Amino acid sequence: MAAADNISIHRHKKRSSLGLNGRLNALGALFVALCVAVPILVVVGFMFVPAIDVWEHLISTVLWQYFSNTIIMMFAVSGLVLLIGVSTAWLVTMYEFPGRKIFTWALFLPLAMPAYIIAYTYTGMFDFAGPVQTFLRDMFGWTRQDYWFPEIRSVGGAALMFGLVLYPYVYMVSRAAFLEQSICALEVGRTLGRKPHQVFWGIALPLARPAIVTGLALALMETLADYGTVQYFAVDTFTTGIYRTWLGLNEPAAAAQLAGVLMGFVFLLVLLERTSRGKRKFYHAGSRYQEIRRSTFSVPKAFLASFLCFLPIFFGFLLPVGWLLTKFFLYPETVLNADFASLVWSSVSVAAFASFLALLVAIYLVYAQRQEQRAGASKIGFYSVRLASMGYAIPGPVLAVGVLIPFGFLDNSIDQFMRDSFGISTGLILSGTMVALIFAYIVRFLAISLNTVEASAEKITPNMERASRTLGVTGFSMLRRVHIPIMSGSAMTALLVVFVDVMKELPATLIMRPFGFETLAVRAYELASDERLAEAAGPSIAIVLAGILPVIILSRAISRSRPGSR
Amino acid sequence: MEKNTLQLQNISHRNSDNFVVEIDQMSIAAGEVVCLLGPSGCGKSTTLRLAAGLEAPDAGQITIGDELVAGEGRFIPAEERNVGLVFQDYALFPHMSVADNVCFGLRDKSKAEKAEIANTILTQLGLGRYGENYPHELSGGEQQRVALARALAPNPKVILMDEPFSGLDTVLRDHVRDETLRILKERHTTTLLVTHDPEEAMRMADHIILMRDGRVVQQGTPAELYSEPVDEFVASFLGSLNRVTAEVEEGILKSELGQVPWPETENLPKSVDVLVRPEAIRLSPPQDESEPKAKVRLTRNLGPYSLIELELPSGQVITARAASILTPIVGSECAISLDRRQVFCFA
Repeated sequence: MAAADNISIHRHKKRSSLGLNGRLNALGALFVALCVAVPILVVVGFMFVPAIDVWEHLISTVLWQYFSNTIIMMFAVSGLVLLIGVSTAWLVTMYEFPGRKIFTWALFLPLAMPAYIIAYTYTGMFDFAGPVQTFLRDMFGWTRQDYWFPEIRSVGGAALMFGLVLYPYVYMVSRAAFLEQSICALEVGRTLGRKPHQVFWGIALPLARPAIVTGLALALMETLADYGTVQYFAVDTFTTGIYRTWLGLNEPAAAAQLAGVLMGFVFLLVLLERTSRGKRKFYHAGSRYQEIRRSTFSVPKAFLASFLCFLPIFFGFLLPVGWLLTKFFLYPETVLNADFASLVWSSVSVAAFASFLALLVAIYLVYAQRQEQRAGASKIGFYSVRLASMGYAIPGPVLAVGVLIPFGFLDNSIDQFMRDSFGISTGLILSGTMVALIFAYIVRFLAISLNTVEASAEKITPNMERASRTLGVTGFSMLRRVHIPIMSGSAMTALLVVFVDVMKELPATLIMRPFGFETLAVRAYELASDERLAEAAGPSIAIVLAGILPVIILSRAISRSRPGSR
Repeated sequence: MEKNTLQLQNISHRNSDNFVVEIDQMSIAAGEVVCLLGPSGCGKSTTLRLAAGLEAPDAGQITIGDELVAGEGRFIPAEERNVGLVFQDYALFPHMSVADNVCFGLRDKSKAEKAEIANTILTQLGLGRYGENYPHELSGGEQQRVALARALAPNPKVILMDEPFSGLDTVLRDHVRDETLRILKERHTTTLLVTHDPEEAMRMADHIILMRDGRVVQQGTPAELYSEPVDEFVASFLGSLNRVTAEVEEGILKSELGQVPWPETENLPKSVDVLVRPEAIRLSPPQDESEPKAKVRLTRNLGPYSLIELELPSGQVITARAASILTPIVGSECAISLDRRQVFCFA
């Protein structure tokens, strides 16, 4: 065989696996991922800019407060979400009691309630002028000094709010984990002489632990990322601190450094979540599954179980929604006007656009990664995807800092260049525009679309593509007949979940929105801050309604996830 | 000899994991079922992918029928080769019904024609009533047959199967294997089947191609490979062996199991290892002093035949195999004679 021949065939082969096109794709993916990662890199970069006097000021005044409030809240929220989430998940998975089927999905409902909305509904209900205290005073003839009532606008109150709306994260993963556990493992425990509660503590809980940690990490990330609730309750945490240091003290470097500390917390959580997920394989017990035989309670116990499951749904969803609806029906004119329609339109259109864009970027990145994996070449695509999904861990205000600094720099550079060369001042082209805001949304929520698209793309195995090829179906035709039908469901889910998250997003929108631009979330928050709680009900109901959609999808997906149940 | 349908010549190929496959010559005649056998990681799946056109060889030629599909600067990709591929994991499309899966590769046909073809082939494979079902509703064996039906539907020149039965449990496997073989033979389908299971290869193949470390070690009928292995690897891969030491004398190998005439003893060292299949050891009641003997330590009845553990005078333990009715009593002494065709020496 001639050597030249050999080489030409060899080249031919290289082109067919990862040629110029493939390499451009991999580099393109890296570029997109880097763009998405810029805000993170900026915040990290600013940690090295000295801002000593600001820090001295912070340390002598508020820093300790930030720290202690943040830590207290993390512990309190952990306790609450674990208690509510794990216990309800265990009850609805393992026992039969009245209303179990309804509770199974209804326990997800509080997820539709943004923390800042539940915060001001609770304030409305439980503060001095609210119906509860007024009722107590009228009933017993008390006056202000006569009684003690827990202050809802406090660290503890904030933690309670987070606990009530974030426990579904833990509920969701624990339930999935309990469902996944081979019933055999639990029955072996019983036959070896363990009582049911011993089986729970000794077998089921350790098996589910990695999943539970994942859910806890998600709940705590949301807690750290929150701005609306703590600001409304006047609880100083890192998030409010960043906002104030930047916009109040006008110290972007110090704000970025505070953001850096906050990101440190978040990355600890991400690490926690990753390590526990990494071990998960080892925790999987057995490969045979049986239908779970739910135990039945005695009548009083069954009602107790129903009551326990009802509590979080009541306090996390029914009560605040009921309160909002009452306000809405008392003052319908706050909702039924032209202004509200345009508000809904701006919220929906921005969210739709951002979610669509995030989906496109996710599909592009996942495909670049797949193409590369198939060629077995470099790992650029793989790391690009990981890099691009870091944004989800970044709290909104930190993200705002990270986006606005480079955008401001870019604007100033363009302005400088235009003035030097043409004597025209362009001012701020990108900062404070929809471009910056939508970019921020994509950075923040890309991870959701990426994970969803990646998971569904994994369902299309390389062998399916090969089967399609050997049957003569390739290229666009394969995309149309194999890829799109298999992935379309998940793509819709990704679209919807990001859509709702953008609708709910508050802090980044608050800081970055163009002048005069409002979303439902911003309007609800501003009205609530102005103590116009009744008027805030309209936009809040709209957000909660939108939020229920992905909750339904999620709970369905989990019920279907049990192996062997199809 | 019949015309070859698939032929690989002088193939040299390095895959993405830097594993090298080199094949001088490999051919499959029309209507034959050939098994590509070897331990895992021997390059058999890579060879299959080369034949399918999912990978292009670095050098060498591949022909399918009269057409050169790879080599001499030419490369016809998988989609234009008209080969059918059945995967280990079946790779059925989960979003399509069984009938749609089977029709997937049919082009330029009207809807009615497609339905007709799918129906015919599904009926032939005993899946006639599952057309409207989805793959996940079927058992493993049925899914495997759907994968076969999908590959057969476009009437390919060659069917390539990659460990198609390894996902099935033992009981089902034998049945599905026989069914598949019946269908392939009925349709005169030329088949290259990859497997790591020698029993499966012996059971199904007209010819076996045994590979190791990216090279073909031996090709031939199952009987040839079993009784005329070219080296110890082939011998031990296809069946169990006893190993005893033998003295080399002129024309004779002399061991505790007795003497075996051996044609070429000139180039052998003084002492060699002799390999003996369990069924080559025949046992009989001892008759005179000169016979080689062994003591029965243990017997294990496996139904039609028994495994017998024997202790030789030196203390070495070997295994023999005999029909169950001929099983000797434990503790008794037996005389040994050897079936020379099942005795190998590769020194």
